[in-house]
Amino acid sequence: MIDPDATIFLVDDEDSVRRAVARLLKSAGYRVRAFASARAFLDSDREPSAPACLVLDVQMPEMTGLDLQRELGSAQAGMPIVFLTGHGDVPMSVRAMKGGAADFLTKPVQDVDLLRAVAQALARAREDRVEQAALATVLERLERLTPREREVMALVVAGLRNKQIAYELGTAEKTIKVHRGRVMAKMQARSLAELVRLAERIGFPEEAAT
Amino acid sequence: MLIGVSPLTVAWSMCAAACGMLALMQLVLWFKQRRTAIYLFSTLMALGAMLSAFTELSLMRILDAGAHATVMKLQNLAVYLLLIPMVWFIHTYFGTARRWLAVTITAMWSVAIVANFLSPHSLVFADAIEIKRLTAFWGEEFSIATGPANPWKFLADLASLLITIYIVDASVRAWRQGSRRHAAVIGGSITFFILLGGIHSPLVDASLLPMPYIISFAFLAIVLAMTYELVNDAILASRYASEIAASEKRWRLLLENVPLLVAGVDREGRIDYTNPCFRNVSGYARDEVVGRHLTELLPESVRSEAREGFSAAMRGDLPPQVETALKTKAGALRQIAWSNVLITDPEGEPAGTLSIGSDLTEQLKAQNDLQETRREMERMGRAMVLGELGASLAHELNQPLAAILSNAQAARRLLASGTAGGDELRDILDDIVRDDTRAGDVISGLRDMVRKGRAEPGPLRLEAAISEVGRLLRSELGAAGVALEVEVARDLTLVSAGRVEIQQVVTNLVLNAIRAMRDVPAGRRKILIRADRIDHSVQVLVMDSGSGIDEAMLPSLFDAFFSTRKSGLGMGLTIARGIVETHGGRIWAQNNPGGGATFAFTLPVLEEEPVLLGTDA
Repeated sequence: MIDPDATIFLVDDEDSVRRAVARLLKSAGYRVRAFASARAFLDSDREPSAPACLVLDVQMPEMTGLDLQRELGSAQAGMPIVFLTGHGDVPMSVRAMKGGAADFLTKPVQDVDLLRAVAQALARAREDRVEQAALATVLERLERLTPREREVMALVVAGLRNKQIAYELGTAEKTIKVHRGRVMAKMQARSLAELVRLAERIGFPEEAAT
Repeated sequence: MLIGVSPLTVAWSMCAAACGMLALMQLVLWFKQRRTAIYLFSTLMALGAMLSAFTELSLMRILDAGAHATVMKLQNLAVYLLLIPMVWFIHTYFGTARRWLAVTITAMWSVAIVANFLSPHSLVFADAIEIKRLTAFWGEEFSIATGPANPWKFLADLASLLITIYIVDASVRAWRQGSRRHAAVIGGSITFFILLGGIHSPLVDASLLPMPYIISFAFLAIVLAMTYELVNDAILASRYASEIAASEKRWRLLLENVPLLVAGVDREGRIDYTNPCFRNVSGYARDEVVGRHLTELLPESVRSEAREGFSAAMRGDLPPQVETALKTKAGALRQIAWSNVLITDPEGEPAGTLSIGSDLTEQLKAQNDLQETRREMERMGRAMVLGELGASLAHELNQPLAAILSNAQAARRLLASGTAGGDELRDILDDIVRDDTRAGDVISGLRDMVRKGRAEPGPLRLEAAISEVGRLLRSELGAAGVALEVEVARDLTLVSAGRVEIQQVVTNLVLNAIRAMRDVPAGRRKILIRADRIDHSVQVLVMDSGSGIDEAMLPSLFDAFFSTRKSGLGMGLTIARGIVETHGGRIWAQNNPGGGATFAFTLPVLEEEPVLLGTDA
């Protein structure tokens, strides 16, 4: 049930707490990498090869846990954050959760609560990884389209018929048919519905336009 | 002869009667006031003058030489009876006469009077006198004796001269000492009439003056002058008596009504006077307290000391002011501040004490209440600081508790999975013990802060106290992004202060500094605590890098309920000032030249290095 490759990053300025929590996580079979400050964590080489999550203390001098969360921004997608705080108030937890935190726990924390939160975060990380891998594949396919094929695909997923697309692009319906066939092949879509779903997933055409 | 009576007989009889009256008067006075020898002397003088008047009259009528000798002897006795009491009267009355002169005069006259009675005739004539009849201008005949002078008479004449010198001397001295009236009336009249008699009689004796002896009239004048003075004295005495009574009434009114305790003590230390206030406070009735030894009204613990103190007082070493506890009849103790005076007898020897005291009990109680209120305020202040620190302290407690829980649960998991190594478990247990100790320290620090009452100021090591504050405030400082630096001079000595109180002051100042730097960019929030020794005190500075204090607010910063914050009660600095001033130090605030504010306070250094330095450990 526990992924031996999963890594838990732990950031807490308090030595004794950091050591104790690290021990607890290790006793549950996780690999743990602990840091005494947010800065040390940011400076580390932390590109995970396996699913990972971050157990983060809120109150820390210089850069607090919430500051770190903001700093990580979208990069936290692959590494869900479980906050651990001495005394959490509602605004603090709201801020953390809005920022995308996986969980918000208060110290002293029961081992089952922490381990459950960590397991859920890792599961989410795993899902995120799968999702991201899938997205990456679709985006890769999209990259292979010519600009003309993108234009055609954008109009196809918008629900236009071939004739309308030809009129819109000022070309023959036959030509559109050829382009459309190439789009379907390159995007590996077996049906129009599947193409629409792929486009939705990567946010096409808006994203492609940017 | 005028209308059938003899003027000589009438005059001398009246003189004798006057003298007799005066004698009677003085005798009555003497009986009333036995101790006043002066009245005895004046009685004798008046009797002497009376006898003299009779004998003089007799001498005028006598024709037989033998009878003349007898009467003359009596006449001299009368003079003796007058002069010698007079000498001693003056000695007693003026108090300025020379005693040796008085004794000499008495001795000389006594010898002369013995000679008077041993002589064939008298002190005046040797023997063989001749009696001549002379006629007064109104036609009445009277006798005059002539004869050879007795050689012993020079003794009496010499004594009379000495008397004159004696009186003049005593009068002059009395005059100089301020008794001018007495000197003038008594000294003056006696001198005048003695001289008159002393010149007139020898002239008659020597048959140079053909007239009778008039010594009796001189004597009458003297006795009158003395009587006049004595009556005057009696009037003055009665006037004094009424003045004394009025004065006594005034003092009594004061003593009976003044809300101060008054007590008199005799030479033995027994109470002989108390005023109503004393009896009210002590609860004893007059009969119960008068006659008691003063130590019986003191608590047992101080009695022997008080006994020694009183003995010292009776040797003249009385403290003018003393504060003692008075044990009332009900057994309660009242604290009295006494002012004492020593009573001396006429010889100047201590004869007791008189004390007036004010009951300080209520005042002391009010002071204690005030102190209690201030302590309560300080405790409240500490509770307020605790409230402000609540989150921070919770964090301080939470951290070790969190670590303990995680460590214990990790150990349980390791044991359950059978992967626990002995070393790892030992490490975990060591960590648990350390974290638990740390939590315990926080708790005991809290207990100190909320503890009621005041710890006696003891030797305090400031650096330890300040760094403990730093520890307590660590998370507060961390959360506010403030860097704290502590600089303690190497030669800092111990101060005499209560640890908790001084920590409260430092905590208040640091919390203030933290708040003062809210608007300062994160990297520039700094607090420096510096402690230096300056002369006989230690100065502690708490410097921040905030925006400083509005100069207009500087004077009222330490006033109660003055706050620049909306949420503050404004008691923090007031309490800090109370604590510092109670310790004999001073506290102030100033702006730093380079920006920010400094709060500073001083504490007196502990002058003697005590052997035990345990209180701040």
